[in-house]
Amino acid sequence: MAILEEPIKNMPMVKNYVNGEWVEARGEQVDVVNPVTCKTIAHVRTSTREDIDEAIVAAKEAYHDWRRTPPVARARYLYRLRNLLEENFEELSRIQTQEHGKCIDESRGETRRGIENVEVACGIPTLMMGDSSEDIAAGIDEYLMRVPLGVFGIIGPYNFPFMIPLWSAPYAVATGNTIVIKPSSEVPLTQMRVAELAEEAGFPPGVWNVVNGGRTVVNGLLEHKDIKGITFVGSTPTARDVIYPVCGKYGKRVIAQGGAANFIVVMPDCNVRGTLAACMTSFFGNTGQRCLAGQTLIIVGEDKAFYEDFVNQAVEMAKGIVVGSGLDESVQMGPMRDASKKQGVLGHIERALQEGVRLRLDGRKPGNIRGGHPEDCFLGATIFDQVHEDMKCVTEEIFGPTMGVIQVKTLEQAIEICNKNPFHNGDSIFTSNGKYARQFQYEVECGDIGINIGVVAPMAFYPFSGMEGSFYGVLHTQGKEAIRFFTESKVCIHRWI
Amino acid sequence: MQLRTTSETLSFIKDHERKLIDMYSQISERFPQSDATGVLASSIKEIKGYIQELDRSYYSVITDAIEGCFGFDLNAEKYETDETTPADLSCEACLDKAIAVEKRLLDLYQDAADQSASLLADVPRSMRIISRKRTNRLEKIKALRDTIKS
Repeated sequence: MAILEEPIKNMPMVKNYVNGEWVEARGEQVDVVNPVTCKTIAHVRTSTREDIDEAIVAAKEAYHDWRRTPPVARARYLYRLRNLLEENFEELSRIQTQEHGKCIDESRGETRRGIENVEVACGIPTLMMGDSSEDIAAGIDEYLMRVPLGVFGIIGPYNFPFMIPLWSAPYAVATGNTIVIKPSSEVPLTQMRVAELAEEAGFPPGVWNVVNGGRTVVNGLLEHKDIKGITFVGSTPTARDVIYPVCGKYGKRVIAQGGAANFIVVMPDCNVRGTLAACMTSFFGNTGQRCLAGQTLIIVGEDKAFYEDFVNQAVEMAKGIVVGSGLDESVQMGPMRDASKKQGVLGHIERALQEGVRLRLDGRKPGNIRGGHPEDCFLGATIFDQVHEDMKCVTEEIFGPTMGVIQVKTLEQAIEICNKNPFHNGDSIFTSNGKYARQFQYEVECGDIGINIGVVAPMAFYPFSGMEGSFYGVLHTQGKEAIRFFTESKVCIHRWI
Repeated sequence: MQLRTTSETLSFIKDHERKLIDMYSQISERFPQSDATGVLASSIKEIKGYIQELDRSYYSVITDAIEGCFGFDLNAEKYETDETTPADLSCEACLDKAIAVEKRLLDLYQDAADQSASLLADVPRSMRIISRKRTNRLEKIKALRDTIKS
């Protein structure tokens, strides 16, 4: 099998990119660790309040000229960036794998998704068009323009270091705003590379800024008077209790995407082989570290034979999942991002067992790790059944490679379980019956719905939706909603006498 | 060896396609008269197109790469091929071997497309398109072999 070359060499120091310059932050040095080998591959300094303030000042100064750059011209920068991202596609993908741990197939998918957002934003001359009406009264015309606002903060999570900041950044700059991106300090290398390419694309200094760090940077973005809005993707407690209310307090716009505990509903008339393959991807892809990962499987119907056969097949497939380094093309599941996240998942499994679930597949010790890497961050797939909808393994986010299984009698009961859950991000149904599919689509209360699709990731020209518990705000990232978020409506009525 | 991920499966397929290109090149060089009708040259060009088609569908489509770790479960040994052209083999015998390789690859594409059809989207579609083209191509290689035989 092909073992791909590691792109990060020579222990680089990840710097901030501010006002077109690469600057070392003033805070403490933190290691960037490859979770496969548990070895340090780079260093990054966390940023101080002074660092973040300097970035915001630079972004604000750059806004004056950038806002006056015609949309067609702004789009050209994005076209150049898009071309550079394509030219460096494989390197970008391998950087994600090396610092996050995900498999190369997943990284390449992530790279493609991120680039698609840049491509959609290239259409800004059309996307930013307003409306007009002639003669709202005799001789009086009215029209609407969409105008940018200023500086936006973009806070990214650890699980998609390339793609998720690009759910926002291209639209923000396309619409004439300037940005300060804060990647996760666990995975800063990818956005450093993107910033290098943004620099090469020729974005004027101060338009595209990257500041590394943790809570200090987040607080700095939240509290600074010149930040007009924040997009955030991370945990629900942070989205709900920090980002959303603090933005409200300071009058900032906010997109705060939180966590999830998604359901996959299986009807007895589903295509079993296809459903099982989709379940493997949904529950165990990205090692379960996705806000669209399946967490609980609901099998509908009273046919015990169907239930047992389905679960047995899922166990057999999951048992055979090859675990190892994502740069090995034969590997299907990489490690957790770090050892503490692995411990978190183990804690959830232990509690589920205490709550009375039955373990069908025990992935707590991964066993055979291809390549012989240390076990520190690795898990195997875990499956348990005899799950009840009120158990914490259903109602709390696990964010790891686990599958809990519930059996219910009717589709109505399955939908009720989905809707009772505190999270409402993405749920799926697998069926060959259009009536069930339509009923599920109509009645389930979540933002992203899959019908015979296990990972319901909307394309870049649709919003990445989410509802209560998984999302706080009004507009979502990606597509036309992002354009709306990053602009304000200016209405003009005019009359010439 | 089991081929399970899309990247691994495509690497396996492309490796065999490149070996087939080399095989046709060698046959063409050793037996210049065998390519009088340009069949081998156009086969090489078409196979390069297959590789490009697979890359385009894999790298260009979101769903397939994101879902790619669980798309396949193929026994690689079943599709191993022999692209060697020993010096003592006649042109006809070399073409017989090439036909066997083409048939084995056809099976691989068809099995891979069937397996992945319910999870992936554009990669199995590309595999089916290539299978169709390869079926047509195979008839031309057979016709070339029959011409040389006679």
